[in-house]
Amino acid sequence: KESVMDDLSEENTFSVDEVSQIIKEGVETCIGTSQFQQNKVNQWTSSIIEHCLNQLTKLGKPFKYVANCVIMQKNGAGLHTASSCYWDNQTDGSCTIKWENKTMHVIVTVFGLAI
Amino acid sequence: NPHLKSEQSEFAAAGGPESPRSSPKREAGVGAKKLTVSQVTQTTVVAKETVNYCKETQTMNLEPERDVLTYDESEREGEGVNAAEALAELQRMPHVQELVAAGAAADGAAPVAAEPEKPRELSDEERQQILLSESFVRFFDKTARVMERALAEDVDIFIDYSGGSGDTELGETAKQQVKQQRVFYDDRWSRNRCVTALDWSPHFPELCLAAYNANEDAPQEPDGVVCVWNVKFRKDSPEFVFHCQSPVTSACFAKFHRNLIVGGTYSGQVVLWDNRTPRRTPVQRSPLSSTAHTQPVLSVCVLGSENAHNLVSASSDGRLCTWSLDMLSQPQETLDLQRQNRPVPATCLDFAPSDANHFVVGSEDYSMYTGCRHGAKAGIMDALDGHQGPVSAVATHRATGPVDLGHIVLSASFDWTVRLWSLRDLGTVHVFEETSDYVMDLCWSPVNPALFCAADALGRLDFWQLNLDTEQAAARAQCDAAVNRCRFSDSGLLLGAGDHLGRLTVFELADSLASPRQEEWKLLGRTLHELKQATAELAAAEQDPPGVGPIR
Repeated sequence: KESVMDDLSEENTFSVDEVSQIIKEGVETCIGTSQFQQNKVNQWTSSIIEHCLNQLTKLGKPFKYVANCVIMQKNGAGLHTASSCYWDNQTDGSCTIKWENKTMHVIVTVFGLAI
Repeated sequence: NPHLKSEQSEFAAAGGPESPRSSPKREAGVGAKKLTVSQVTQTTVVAKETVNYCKETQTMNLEPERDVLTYDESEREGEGVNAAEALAELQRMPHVQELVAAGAAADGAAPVAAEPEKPRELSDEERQQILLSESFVRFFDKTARVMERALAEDVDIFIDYSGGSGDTELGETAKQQVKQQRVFYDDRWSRNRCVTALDWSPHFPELCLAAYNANEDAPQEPDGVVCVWNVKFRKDSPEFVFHCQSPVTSACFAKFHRNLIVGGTYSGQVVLWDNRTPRRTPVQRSPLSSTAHTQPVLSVCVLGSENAHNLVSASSDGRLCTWSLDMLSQPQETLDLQRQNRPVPATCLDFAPSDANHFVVGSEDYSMYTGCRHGAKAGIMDALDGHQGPVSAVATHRATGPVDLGHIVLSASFDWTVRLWSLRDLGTVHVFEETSDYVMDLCWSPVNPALFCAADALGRLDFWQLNLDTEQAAARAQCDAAVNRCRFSDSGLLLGAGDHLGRLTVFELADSLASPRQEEWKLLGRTLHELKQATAELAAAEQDPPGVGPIR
C-alpha cells in the first residue's frame, strides 16, 4: 500500500504546469520575435527541443520524456494534429503548447512517462 | 495486461541502480498499474479563406447600347477630321478603358481586402465581459433600433408619380375623411392594459407616448408602463419602454426638455423618465408624503417658457402641486382646490393656452370649475354646472389665430353629452347630444379652430366641425374597443386614440377636414354667436332649466 501511495506523490506525477512553463520559456528564448525564415527553422526546432529536454531532465523526476516540435508558416493553410496515449493516467501525462506570432505557428508537445 | 505489468516491474528492477533517483520502493513489487488510453490531444490551425471573383461577369455588360459608344470612323470619312470634334467624341467615351482598369484593380484588391488577419478567438469570460460592457450595450441598443426600422420598411418601388389616382379632396364622402393609419400594440407591454394617457412630442412630431394601466393577468410585470411609439417608421415595437411600480394615470413629454417624460401615477407619485439612460425605471420620483400627492395624479403638464417653467400636477383630491423639474423631492407650491370648504373631487384638468395661471377643472360632482393658481384668490373661482354626470374631460381651445378664443371650453361627461362653454359669461354655448354612451375624452385640433374630436366608450370617434354642422358630426371613425384617450398631433393631421385593451390607433385625417380654410376663424365667431343665441332662446322657452348656472 505504501508503494501505491508513494506513486502518487508529487515527485512521481507529471506536472503539467511546470512542463508548460518550461516549454513556453523555451519557445520564447529560441524564437522570440523573429519572423519565419526557412533557413532558420531547423535551428529553431532543434534549440526548442534541446532546451525543453534539458530543463525537464534538470527536474530530476523519474520520467521518460518525448518532445515534438512543429513550426508552420502562416500562409493561409490549415493544419490539424491529434495524439493519444495508452499509459497510466495517474502518473503519466502530456502537455501541448501552441504559440504563434505574426508569421508562424509553433506547436510543441511533451510527453512524460513515469519510469 | 498482467503481462505488461510484469514487464514493467522487471524493467524497473533492472533500471533501478542506473537512474539516480528512482525510488527503491518501486522495485519491491509494483502494485496494480492500470493503463488506459488517454484523451486525444488535438491541435488545429485554421485555414485562411480566400474569396474568388470570376472575371467573366464584368465583361459581359460592355455591349454598346448607345450610338455614342460606337467608334465608327467610316461615318466621318467624308467630312474630314475635325480635331476639336474628335477630341470631344473621345472625351465622351472614356469609360471603356477605365472599366477594364477598375476590374483588374478590384480583382487584385479583393483577396487582400477579403480576409484580414484571422482574429484571436475569445474565451467565454472575455466574451461575457465585452457583452456586459457599457459601450457595447449602448452601441447594441442604438444599432438594433436602426436595423429594426430598416427591416420593417417596405417602400413601394413601383410607385408612379406621373399618373396614379390622386385623392380628390372635394367630393369625398365623410367616411373617407378619417382613415385608420396604424395600430400600435405591443404584445408584452400593452396586453390587457388600458391606455390612460396620450401625448405627442413637441420636439419630434412623429413620436407619441402612451401610458398604460396595470395588467391584472401579469402581477409580476411592472404596474405602470409608458411606451413611446414612432409613427414615421413601420416597425412594430416601441421606440422606448419605461415602467414604474404604480399604474401610470397621466403622462406628458416635458415641453422644454427633449429627453424627459413626466408621468403621474396612481399612488400619487410624480415620476420622471429620461431616454438618454438605458434605464427603464424613473430617474426621479416625488416622495409619497402628505406634502405632495396621496391620490392618483390625473394630470401633469409643463407650463411656462423656456427659461422659467414649472411642472404642474393635479390629483383627484383637488390638490395642485407645482414642481421644478430638477428637484422632485418636494413641491415648490401646493394649492388645495376647495368648493364650499370641501375638496373638489377632480377628474380632469386643463390650462388655458399660453396662460400658466388660469385653468379649468372637471369634477365628479357633475360641475366644472375655473380657477387660478396665483394671486390673492388662488383656487377655485367660478363653477359651471350643467352636466348630469361626472365630467370626464375638459379641453380649452388650442388653435391660435386672429381671434382669441381662449374663453371657449369643451367638456365631456358620463351623461352622454359634450358641452361647449364660454367662460366670459360662464354659460353653456351648446350641447352636443349625439353620442350614445359615456364620452371619455375630448380634444381640440391645434390647427383648425372649429374642429374637435370626442371619443366615447363604444369606441366611436366623432369629429365635429362647428362651421359645417353643429347637429351632426362631420366625420366618424370607429375603434374596436372603448376609447379612453384621444389626442390630436401637433400638425393636426393625425389623431391618436388609446383604448382600454391597450391598443393605440392612429387615424389620418383628410386635409379638407383637418386644415382650416381661410375664413375659418371668422365663421367660427359667427357660429358661436349663433349657438349662444339658440341656447339662450331654448333656455328662455323652457323657463325652468335644471341645474344651469348663470348664463347671461
